[in-house]
Amino acid sequence: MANLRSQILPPIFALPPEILITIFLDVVDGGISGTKTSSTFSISLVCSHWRDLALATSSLWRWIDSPARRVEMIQTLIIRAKDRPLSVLLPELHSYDTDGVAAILEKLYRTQELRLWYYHGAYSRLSSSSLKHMAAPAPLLKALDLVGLCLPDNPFLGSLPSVRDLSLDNCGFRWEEMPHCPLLRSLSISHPDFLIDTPSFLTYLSTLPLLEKLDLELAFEDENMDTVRPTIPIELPKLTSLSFTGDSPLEVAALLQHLRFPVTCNIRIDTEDVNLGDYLALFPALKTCRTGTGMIKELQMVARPFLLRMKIFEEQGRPSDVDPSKRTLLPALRLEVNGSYHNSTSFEMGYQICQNRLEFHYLERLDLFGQGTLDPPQLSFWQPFASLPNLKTLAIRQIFAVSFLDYVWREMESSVNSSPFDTIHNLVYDDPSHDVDQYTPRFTRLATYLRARADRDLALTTLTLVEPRSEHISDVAAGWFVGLVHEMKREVRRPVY
Amino acid sequence: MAAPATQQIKIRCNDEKEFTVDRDVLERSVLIKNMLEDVTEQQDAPIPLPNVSGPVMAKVLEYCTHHRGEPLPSADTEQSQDETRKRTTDISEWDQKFITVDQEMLFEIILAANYLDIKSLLDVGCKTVANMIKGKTPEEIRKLFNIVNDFTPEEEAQIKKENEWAEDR
Repeated sequence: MANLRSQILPPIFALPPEILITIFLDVVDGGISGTKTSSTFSISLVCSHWRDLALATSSLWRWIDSPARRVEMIQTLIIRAKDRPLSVLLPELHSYDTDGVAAILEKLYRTQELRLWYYHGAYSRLSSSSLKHMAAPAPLLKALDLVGLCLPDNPFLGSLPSVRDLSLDNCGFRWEEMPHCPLLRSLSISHPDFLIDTPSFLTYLSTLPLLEKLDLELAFEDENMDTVRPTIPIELPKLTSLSFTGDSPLEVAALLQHLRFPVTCNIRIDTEDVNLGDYLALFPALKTCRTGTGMIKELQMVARPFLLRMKIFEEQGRPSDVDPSKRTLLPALRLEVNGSYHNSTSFEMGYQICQNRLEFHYLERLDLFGQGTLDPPQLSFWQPFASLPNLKTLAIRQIFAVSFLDYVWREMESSVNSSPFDTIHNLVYDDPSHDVDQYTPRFTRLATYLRARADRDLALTTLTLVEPRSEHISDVAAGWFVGLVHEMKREVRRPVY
Repeated sequence: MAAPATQQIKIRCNDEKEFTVDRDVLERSVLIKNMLEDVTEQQDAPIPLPNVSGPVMAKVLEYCTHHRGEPLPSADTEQSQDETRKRTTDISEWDQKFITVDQEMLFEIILAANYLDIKSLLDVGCKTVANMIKGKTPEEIRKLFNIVNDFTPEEEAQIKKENEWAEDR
């Protein structure tokens, strides 16, 4: 009978139900966001056997992340998930009808993850029934991530007892009604429709003893930070990351003087305030900052031992103004070029600044990031980097990845024996391609370059692949990278992009 | 000084094929490990493994030999009921090459790993099948595994509606 069965049924039917269910869960839970709901339906529609198994596995149905807008589909998922806690990710909230959103929020009491992103205008008002649900308790919620929503009065009845991660971006709510989150690990507040007053923010922080990550953007009132009277310092013993974007450095400094956190905490300030260089004494623990360029004052700042993210604005500064005596010894540089600026001017600026203003002999880390639809920089861009005897980490991202490979390829064809990049220990590679046909030749060049140096003086120990934009490329590239790194007996890392 | 000799264990598969294998390699299998711990006296008779054929056992032993010495998954690392646990389908390069076999062998390896209780090999097998399924429509999955669409006409109406949801990515 068993033989007959094996002759009639396809080999996969030999797998017992519990193994098939494990595979189904691997497909859905291990899938990328936005595909989990559709994967669950796909599995359940293959044949009656798979459908029976899928319908009997309630945890398969707990994901609501489909771009589909149908209320009926949402209700089907909720019913089939039975009593499982739901995980909801709706990155295109504007495309859902109000009944669909209300149907989801009605189950907020059994939701463990809720991510609702509304990018079509600030402060979308949810329907009254949705608002009613968001004013109710959400005892299981562990992650709450809202963008562009107006919250009801006294949201979640003032308490989110299980929440670990809370992110509110462009949301409307009253700060004094911020829910109490005793288990919070990560707090991010960006562009609230009000400005937080510092004393009440400090009071709120004092209720978050487990906080590890604090990320604030354009959140504070400008005028009264330095008038806050010193109180008992707020202890944040687990804090590892503190990030401020857009707020005045003076306001940030005034806030920091009231906080106590480990010296290992990484502080990051991202500001367009051209006077940041004047305030550096206020931030002895600062690890990373980012600012506009074009002022000598700012470039003096980069001599300090932390990473500069230098964003090139075409309208700021003129390279011809540079005084050679102002050249700066730079330990680390992140050069970021944004696609919204004209390529030629941006690159010219970047090139001139690199060539005229900065000295790279002591550079240990170089992180080149070109976003958007810009053309790759000309090969001459690399001229200032001709000698990098101390470089340990090189990150080539997006358009710079393309240009870098052209550059090292030309080196190889010219039979150049040594490369300024032979000293690097860590290489981060981030290809801009969505198309495997474009990715393949570039990867081949990278592999050829690394192999040619692997047996000689290449110091490379870690190669990091930044996840390509296409899932197909990602899988293919991951296989190539693992193979290359294994062959070279190096370590591979594959961070989530 | 010579290293101490490793104990050799003999096993016999359902096609009478026999293997003599280092004990630490065989102990990647929790089933065999428990059997060996239950036997106090030295036995010359091979351990019978009635659910595994010789060719499949050869592949399993290739896997166990490569991973010998690695810590066995403890109860803590085993699949928990916590649904917030991050489930990935990443597979190491060696394991990927190892598991690049035809479908019949792939499912035989999974069954053998399940029977022999080799969790890491079972994981590799399941993740491989999961990666084959990911991103495919129901029809593409049927074609991949040679599965027949056996829904009744009554079921088809509901199936058709859900098919649209499945394709809505």
